[in-house]
Amino acid sequence: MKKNIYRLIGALLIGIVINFLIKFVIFNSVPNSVSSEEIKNMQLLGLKTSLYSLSFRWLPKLLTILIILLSSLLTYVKTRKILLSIITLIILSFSPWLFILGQTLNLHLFLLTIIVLLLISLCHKKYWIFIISFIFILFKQWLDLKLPNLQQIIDTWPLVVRLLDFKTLFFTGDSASQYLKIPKTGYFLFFDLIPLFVGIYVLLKNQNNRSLGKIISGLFIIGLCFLFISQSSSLNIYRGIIIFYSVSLVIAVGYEYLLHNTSYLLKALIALIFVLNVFFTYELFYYHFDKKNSFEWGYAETNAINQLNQKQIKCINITQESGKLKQYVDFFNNDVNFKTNMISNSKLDDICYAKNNCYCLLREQELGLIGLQKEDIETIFSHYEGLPIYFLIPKNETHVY
Amino acid sequence: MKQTLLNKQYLSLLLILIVGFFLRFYLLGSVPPGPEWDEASAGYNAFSILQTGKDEWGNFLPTSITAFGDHKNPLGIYLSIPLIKILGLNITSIRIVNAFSSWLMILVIYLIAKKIFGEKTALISSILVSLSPSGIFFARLADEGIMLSILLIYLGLLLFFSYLNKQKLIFIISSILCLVLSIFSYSLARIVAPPLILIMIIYYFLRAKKKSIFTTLMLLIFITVTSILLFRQLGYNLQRVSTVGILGSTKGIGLEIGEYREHDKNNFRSKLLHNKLTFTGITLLGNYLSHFSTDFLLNYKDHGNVSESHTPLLFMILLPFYYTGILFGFKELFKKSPKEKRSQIFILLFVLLIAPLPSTITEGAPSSKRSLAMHGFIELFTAFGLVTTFSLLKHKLKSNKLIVFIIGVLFAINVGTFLYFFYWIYPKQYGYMYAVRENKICEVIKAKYQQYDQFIFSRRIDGVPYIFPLFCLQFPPEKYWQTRQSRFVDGWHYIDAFDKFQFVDVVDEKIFDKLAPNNKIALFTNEEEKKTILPLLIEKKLISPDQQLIMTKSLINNPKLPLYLFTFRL
Repeated sequence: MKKNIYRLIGALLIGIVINFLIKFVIFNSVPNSVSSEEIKNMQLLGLKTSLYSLSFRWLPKLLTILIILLSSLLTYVKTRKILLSIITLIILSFSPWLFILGQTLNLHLFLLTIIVLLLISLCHKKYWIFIISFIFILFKQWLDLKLPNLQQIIDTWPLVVRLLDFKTLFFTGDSASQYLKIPKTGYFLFFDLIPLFVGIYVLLKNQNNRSLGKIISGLFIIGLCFLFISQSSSLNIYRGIIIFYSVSLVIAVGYEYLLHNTSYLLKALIALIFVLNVFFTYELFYYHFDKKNSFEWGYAETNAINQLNQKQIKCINITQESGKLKQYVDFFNNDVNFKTNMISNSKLDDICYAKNNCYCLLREQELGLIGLQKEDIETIFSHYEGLPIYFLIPKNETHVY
Repeated sequence: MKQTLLNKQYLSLLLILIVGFFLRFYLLGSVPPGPEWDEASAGYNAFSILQTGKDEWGNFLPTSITAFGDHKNPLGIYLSIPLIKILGLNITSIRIVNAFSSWLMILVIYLIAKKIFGEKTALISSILVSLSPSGIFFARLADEGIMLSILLIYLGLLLFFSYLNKQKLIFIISSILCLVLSIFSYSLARIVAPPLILIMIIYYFLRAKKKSIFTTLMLLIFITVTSILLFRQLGYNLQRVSTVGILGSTKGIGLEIGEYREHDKNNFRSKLLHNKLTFTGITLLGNYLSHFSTDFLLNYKDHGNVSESHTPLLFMILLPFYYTGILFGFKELFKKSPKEKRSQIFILLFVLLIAPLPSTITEGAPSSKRSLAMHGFIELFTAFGLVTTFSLLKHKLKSNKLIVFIIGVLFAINVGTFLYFFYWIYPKQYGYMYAVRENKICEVIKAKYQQYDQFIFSRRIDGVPYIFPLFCLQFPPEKYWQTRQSRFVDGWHYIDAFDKFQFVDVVDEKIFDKLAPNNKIALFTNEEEKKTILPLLIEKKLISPDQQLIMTKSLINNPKLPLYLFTFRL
């Protein structure tokens, strides 16, 4: 027993180190820019950050590590199986859904952390399920939760079956949450599919896992309820967060069974496939995530602000079309050295060519209104994958910055 | 006592068959509306063969019907010939083959299930098949011989199981014959049937108790002839696979690999990880598994396409029993039951597992149509799951009857909702997908064929406009061949004119070059074309302001699909 606890502590410590290494060193700079949603969340949380820093992400990363460690502890408390505890730690560390949530500032991680904390402390009590359901009331305002009417329940049902689709879970992810997913990956690793089936079988069949099974099924039901009470405007990865968590635990049970009941050769094979799968998935994240959905992120906006600062421009005119840039300028106002004016695109000609030191920053579709084409523009700010978005309209040559 | 039970069973089966018949044949010609393009094409080719022995391209008794260039499977078309002879060329006569096949399937599934799983499972399977939403949907479409093909696969299996029981050679020969015929009924059988034939042949040569030289020789000759016929069609199949398949540099996967390699400037790592093997493998696996997932099995699809079922494959309440059915099926394989029974269950599971393959390899998977070979097996394993689950829970649950009652009520709600949707809502809501404009044009043409010298409409209204006048006028094939002007582009046949009919890519000012002086013209247009052509007609004084008011009223009362008819004399 004591030996097991030492082992568990050792595993948790190694888990902490590995997770720190992964989240704070290897993948620290991915995603390479701040999203609009993160800005909104920072405003809500009262966080302030610099244009040149992504340090605000320490918060979700730490929360994720906490969730992973607590989950590992939870499985140990409920089953007394050290292997299952370690596997839970590994599975949650590399599960794409939790990893990606840990890489961006979002409020749903707070909810999941509290749920896991409550599970640890209340898992022996019969009423844990009600306490956790009660938590939703506390998060009602933050996460925009509402009791659904019949029509909303009917409308949400297709989402439930779509979310629990094998293709969505393991291969494609949800098309509506593209910007919060590792490219070409589902919410889980491809290979997790087999342990999922095994895990379901073990939980149904094996008496030893009954108490963990109850927690997982309880979480799944809570997850379903959460999905119905969260708003359709919310991303599916957020809406399904509790369901994904319960599925991850099932997968961990499946892996534990496979590793416990197979020959060394098969164990080695399972480990090898898992490692290859992790390598394949995280290569996609490291090298392709920023390029794949860069228009959803703020690389172009932060880069534009940075470059305009360097050019020592004092004033910028932008239209409603560039509302996203305005959001970034307002939020990072300490790092912005220029003033912005919102203009309507009806008098662009007069404003952009006026003899003053205020420059126009336009979108491609607005260039035609002042008789320009994108080839005429020298200073262009692009998304990370190279697609141009903002065009700095030059002044007459007599004009100086 | 036994006799009474037997009578009850037969009575139940009879009732199920009557319900199944009613659901398949009631309003067959109007739910769904039609004919749509493929139905019209299949119908006219059958009519042409009936009249001349040749298809619309003049091929004598073809083993593949060229049609639009899509090379339709012949068996369903040939079987509809006698029906056309009796009932005439109409939507009902061409839909009967599939409807009847689907109806017969209820009986065949019953017999298979009875043979392997017993009477209770057999009756429940036949109920589920008779009420199956996608079964009813595809039974009512004359889409080549899709249901015929599936019926033949099941019949092949039933005969093979009979062979396993009785070891009579006639059973294995007729079983293989059914499977071969299924290949000529619908494309999905080209993937599902050959592995089954192979299993049967291997079984015959390795395990059969009775083997005669004559039968072996017959079997070999039969396989050779079939292979030759199949080989002839291979070219068309490959062409089809290249069109709808997932492979190819211009397809999603090819483009995706290119994109990822470009991100990495095509370095070694990228080549190692982002290649056809990894990307295709992942896509295929995802596509395959999606055929067993909730979204595919339960959802009412909302595709703008006739070829996809708008109905779920399984009623929601039955889903858990489908999964448990598969699970118990696998469990049966490892039980100490008779070897023969295990072989039969193995074959059933094998077909269930290979049935999604035709859909897996295509873009847009999962497709309920391409994976329709699952239909029947889904119901069979669901029934098996239902029966086994309840027999396991019998001793554990006190309120077993109550649970059965609740499931029954929910099932009835599921069925009622589906029937209401399918017979009342679907034709109104999705009727526009069934060539509404083309059929309206047909109505006009039929009524006013003699009054006009030229009928013109464009491919903007319909990609294959020529088939509708041919179908609805029952146009004599010889006259069609004589007057036809056609082109062959990228494997597809385009008909530009025949008899009084002219088909253009778009109706614009150029059509005036195609019109003969003094001819009375009927010109059909869509909304965009109307905007182009109306000012020209007014400018040329071909229509008066009074006529303009009448002609700018759509012939169809559906704002999504406006259709205008301009009549004038040059």
